[in-house]
Amino acid sequence: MVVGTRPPVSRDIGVLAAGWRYASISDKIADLVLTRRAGWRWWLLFLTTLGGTLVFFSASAYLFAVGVGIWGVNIPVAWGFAIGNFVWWIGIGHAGTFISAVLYLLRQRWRTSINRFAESMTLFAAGIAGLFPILHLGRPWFFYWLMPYPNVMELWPQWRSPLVWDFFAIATYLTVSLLFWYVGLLPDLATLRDRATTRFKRYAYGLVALGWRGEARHWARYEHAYLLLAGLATPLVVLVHSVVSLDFAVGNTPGYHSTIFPPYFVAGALFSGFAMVLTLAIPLRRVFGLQDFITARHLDDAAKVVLVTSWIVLYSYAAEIFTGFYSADEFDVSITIERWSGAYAPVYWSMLACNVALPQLLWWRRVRRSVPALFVISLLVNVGMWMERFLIVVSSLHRDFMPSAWGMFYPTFWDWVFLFGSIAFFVWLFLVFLRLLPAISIAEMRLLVDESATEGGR
Amino acid sequence: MLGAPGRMSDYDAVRSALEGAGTAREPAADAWQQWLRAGRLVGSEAPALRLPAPSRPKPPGLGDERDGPLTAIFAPDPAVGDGAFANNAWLQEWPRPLTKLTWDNAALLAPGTARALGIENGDVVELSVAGRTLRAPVWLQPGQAEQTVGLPLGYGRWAAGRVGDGVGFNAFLLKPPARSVVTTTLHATGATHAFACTQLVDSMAGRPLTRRVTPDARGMSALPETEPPARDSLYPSYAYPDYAWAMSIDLDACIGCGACTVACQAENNIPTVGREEVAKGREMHWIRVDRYRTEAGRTAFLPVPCMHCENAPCEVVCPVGATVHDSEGLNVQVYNRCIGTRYCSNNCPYKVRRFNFLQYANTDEESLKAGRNPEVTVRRRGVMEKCNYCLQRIRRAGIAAEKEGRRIADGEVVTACEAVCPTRAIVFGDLVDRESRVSRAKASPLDYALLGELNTRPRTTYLARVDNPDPALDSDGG
Repeated sequence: MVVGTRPPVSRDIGVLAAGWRYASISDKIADLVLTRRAGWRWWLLFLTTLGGTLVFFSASAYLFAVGVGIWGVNIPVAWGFAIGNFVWWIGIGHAGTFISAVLYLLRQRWRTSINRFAESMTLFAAGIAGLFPILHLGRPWFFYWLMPYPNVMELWPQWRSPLVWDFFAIATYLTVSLLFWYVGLLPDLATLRDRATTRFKRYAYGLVALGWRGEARHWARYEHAYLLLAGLATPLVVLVHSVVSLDFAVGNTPGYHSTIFPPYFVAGALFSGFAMVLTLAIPLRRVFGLQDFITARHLDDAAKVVLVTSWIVLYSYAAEIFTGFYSADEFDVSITIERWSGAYAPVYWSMLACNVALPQLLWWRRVRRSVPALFVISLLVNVGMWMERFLIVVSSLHRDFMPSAWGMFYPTFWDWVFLFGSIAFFVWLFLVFLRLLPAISIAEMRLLVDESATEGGR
Repeated sequence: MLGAPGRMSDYDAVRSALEGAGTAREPAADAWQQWLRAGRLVGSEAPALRLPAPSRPKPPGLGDERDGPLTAIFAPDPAVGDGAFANNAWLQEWPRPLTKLTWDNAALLAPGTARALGIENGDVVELSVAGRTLRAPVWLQPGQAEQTVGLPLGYGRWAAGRVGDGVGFNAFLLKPPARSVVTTTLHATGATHAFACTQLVDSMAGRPLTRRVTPDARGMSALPETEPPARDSLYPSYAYPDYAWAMSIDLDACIGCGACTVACQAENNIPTVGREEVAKGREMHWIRVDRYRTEAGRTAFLPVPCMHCENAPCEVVCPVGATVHDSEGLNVQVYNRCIGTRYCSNNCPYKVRRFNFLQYANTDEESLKAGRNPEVTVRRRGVMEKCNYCLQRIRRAGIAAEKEGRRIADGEVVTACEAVCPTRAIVFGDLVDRESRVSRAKASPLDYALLGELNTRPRTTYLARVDNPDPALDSDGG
């Protein structure tokens, strides 16, 4: 901390513009929540996505009443959109924890202004991801049988099944992400409590701020807790998607059964997660005028991560093809060729265009600094990653060992309802978050002001 | 007289008689051995008759030119006959042996004829006979004679009942009385029809799923020399002190009739799902008869029930332990425990598992209850099911045997598919009993496991077809 009476003023350090003070930071971010009125565009988006959310939950009720037969799943393609959506969402839910935990441990300052909303994104995406395996079940009301709970039948889960590992991985990830997110929020919740304009808000924020008074002891414990949680969350970033990938890799289906899957899935998760961070950050900074906090440098850095992970994903695609042929296993070779030229080949080539070809534009600094270009690329990367999930799940299953059992999966109306309904639910949750909680960490931004003032520009 | 001094032994008597009388030519030194191996006196056969090339009888109206008039051939449908069984949902949903179509009949055309006419699978055509017309969807059927249209009778009924009304087209409307073969013309209408077919791919894609062997000097074996040996599993193997149930299916005997499919359906309370669900790939049959077409143009049948693998891929992946190995080697499905992740089906290389995607079993209809097998659970929606080797029959036999204080005898447990099989292609029994029929069948060199290279070690194995070494005598397998 700077010694002296005059509060520090930030200097331009790339990840923060010049001229910001403690007070102006708090004003700017807290006012977004406390005083700024929602415009008609916010309301329009809010009501639209609320409608989509209601459709999503009504569709779930219909699904529970009638059965998963409303989807296009069949034998042989017994897993369809639900599992694809699950993997897609859990992938998106990876960037947040990566940004807040891994970059925190690596002391990357560019995480500061994006970690809060990225973590919220993670939480919402992982939560929605967690819904899909339950919706996917034939008898969803028994999903808790995956838990080892005491019962008179002395029945336990079947521990050899990757689905059990998956259940634990996601539950752990959700819990740790939620704790990490909440602990990080505490100082800001207290700020909101102190600045609250109505009695209700004061009580509400005061309740969730857990009595934070900004004492040195509080800060010391907070720093410890945050560091420990970051340490806990970091292995989970790698672990969760690795375990998700084992759902496939442990299976014997050609196209599933591949040792490259864990790193491949983790890279794909970061790839889609950072694309989603860009998708959310670009409108966020524009609508709320946060260009000073979420700077061109942030977008540039996120774009670089997208570029790097796109190469890891490309490597994984290449490795899958190589091992397919190198194994000389006729089933592996056949599914590889099937992907290139079979019924789902258009999806495969579109996926390559979105996930491999398009991100190469990010080699150019001009593209990385062009906000519209980044927005379009980030959206298409997410489309591409969804297609990848679809291909892994569906195209592998539709032609495996017995030609007599080969079949096709055609999505039904309800398949699309659940995909777009979940997206609407995600956007709705994010909109609510923007109105109720600070989208950028006030406490950490103030620390950044301090750092920038003492260190000076780079 | 046996062993009386001074007399020839039987062996010498047979040998000398054959060597003296077998053939006009002087027998070679090892002729006796050759005869034994061949099972006949080589060279003793009557000279082949020289017959003129067979000429197929020409059906009336069948033109010699490829672009000549077509011949319509009316025949009872394999499933519903002349329509008498049209209201039987089991039969409607039973895949027709050669087409694998369900819930439909079709105008059957040879692929070559259809190509010449510019007609594709599923095109709706209009057939005309003596001024009468009929619209019918086309199904391309390899093996159908060129320039003919097969028209199965028994469909398009309007007073068959709730199941049979309005299924397919009524070929009787075109059929002249007392004639089953007439000249017809055919033209496309531009409309198309979506069939509910249970097998979309005819080719085995080069995989040795059905096998044929030709006896040679090495003898007979269904296993190619490149077949990898069985490998160990990471998991410990099971011990079977009491019984080890297994099945052997003789592909030489199987005629592909598909009676097993319906017998199993009746025995195991398997619901019918209807045309739309079959079209989506959700038929529930626990045993299916695959029909492949080989490169040589042969048709090969392969009945596929659950393999009851020793290293069952389904068991490992179920998160709740709803599919488990029992003490007699059955891979059993616990309906109460199943939550419907469908992971087991994904992991089943044979795709024999069937899922209740919707509430297929009609549990409300009072009249249906009496038709069900009381020893078998009626499954609700959301659970997986599959062949369990007629577990209820095994248990019934086990109880009877236990009361009498003895083991279950060979042949005492007969699965529904085995019971109905008209050619006795299916044999079921206990592998612990070394003398059981199934043990003997599996000892045959013709025995092979489907997709054995996956090391699933199936309990259901197959006996390969045996070709006659003389190609001229080998029937075209049908």
